[in-house]
Amino acid sequence: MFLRFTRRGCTISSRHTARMIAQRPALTRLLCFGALLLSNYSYCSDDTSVTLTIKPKVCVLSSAKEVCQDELQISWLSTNERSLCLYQKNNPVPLACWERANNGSHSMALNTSTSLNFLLRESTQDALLASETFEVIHDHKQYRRARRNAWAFF
Amino acid sequence: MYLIKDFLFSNNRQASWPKYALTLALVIVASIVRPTLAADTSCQGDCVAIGEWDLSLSLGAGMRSNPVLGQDDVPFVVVPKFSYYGKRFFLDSYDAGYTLLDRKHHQFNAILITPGFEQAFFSDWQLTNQDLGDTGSTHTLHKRRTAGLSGFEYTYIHPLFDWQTQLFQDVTGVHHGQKLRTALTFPWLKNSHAWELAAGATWQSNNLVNYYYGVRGNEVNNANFVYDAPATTSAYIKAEWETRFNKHWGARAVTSYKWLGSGVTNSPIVIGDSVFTFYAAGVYHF
Repeated sequence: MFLRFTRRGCTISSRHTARMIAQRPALTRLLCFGALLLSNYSYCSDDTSVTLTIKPKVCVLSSAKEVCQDELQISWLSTNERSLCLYQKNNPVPLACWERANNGSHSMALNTSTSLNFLLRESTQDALLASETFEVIHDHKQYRRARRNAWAFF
Repeated sequence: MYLIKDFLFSNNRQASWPKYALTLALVIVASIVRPTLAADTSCQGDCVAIGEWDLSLSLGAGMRSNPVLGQDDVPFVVVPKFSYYGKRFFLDSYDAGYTLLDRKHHQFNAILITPGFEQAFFSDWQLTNQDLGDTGSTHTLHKRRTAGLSGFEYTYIHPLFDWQTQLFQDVTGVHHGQKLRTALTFPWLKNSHAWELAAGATWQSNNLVNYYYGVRGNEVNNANFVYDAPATTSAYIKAEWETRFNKHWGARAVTSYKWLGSGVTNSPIVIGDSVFTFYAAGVYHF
């Protein structure tokens, strides 16, 4: 698991180190760590033959930032050859399709303030084989300008 | 607690009207300013998280010279610093305040309470009229206590400097005096080093100066030692440096020089005409 920190947030994609988490503010740390635990598994279909993976999996937004902007890498792996299409939930147009392949990958630019669901379906039967969620977490910490004090006792 | 009690129950009516007028002004201004003003902040690089405490402890060495007769210089070793910011309320070490306006170039705060640090020069106060050279029966000079001040503070924020002006009134009935001060600060940030150069002036009313530096008629036998202090203006310059080594550790140094006004230096209990401060320390940020 790897954590990549933006100015006031983080995106989690693969291996992480505890030290990097520890350098973040408490709430962000908690959110990142929770997301980290959640991201330790990949969704597998019922027959466990198709694995869908997305990187990064989580984006933590501070109140100062409105959208997550990143490059999302989506890949799948199957034990046997399949014809599949990748969809974003609530969008009937597939993002990508593959014919008789046992793996595939797709990358797309992210620009979102909400979580996104990705679905992997069989091309012919439309059966759901795997799904994965890119999670957007809002860190509602607010900031303000510090007071100036020319006469601070020190 | 004493400050609050004294503020609420002081029975000196003649001198109390300024503090009630100030309290009324604070309440009126706070109630007519739109609640959204504080949220319209435009912090850049000087942002603080709302709702979080910031606490640091400095451990080092330093002193402040004491111009008062028979009083030792004030040593500094451990200095705590803390702050808490709500959306509008703030606690900034010794000051509690309320932000009424926070815009790109302007910040206007009501200072609910801040201690007047004049008392720091009288912490070991045991002077008598004999120490002034007065003869005859011995009288103890009156005790100097810490006053609590309230008022307003306006800061003009330019990319290259800050100009801050504060107006305070004693609201604890200690001396019933006022204080007006203004200062220009030039902040300079390079890598992880923050520098600050400041220069300013402070006007103190006769009530304030007289309470701390005056000598009353009933405290001496010879009327020549009586000192009724007038209002006075002092000036100061200050240089400050601070750096961070990592998340928890840093260092800081501060030095300042203050020229005392004639209303203070003419007092028979004052033997210096300036106050020099120096402090250097390692800082632990919690």
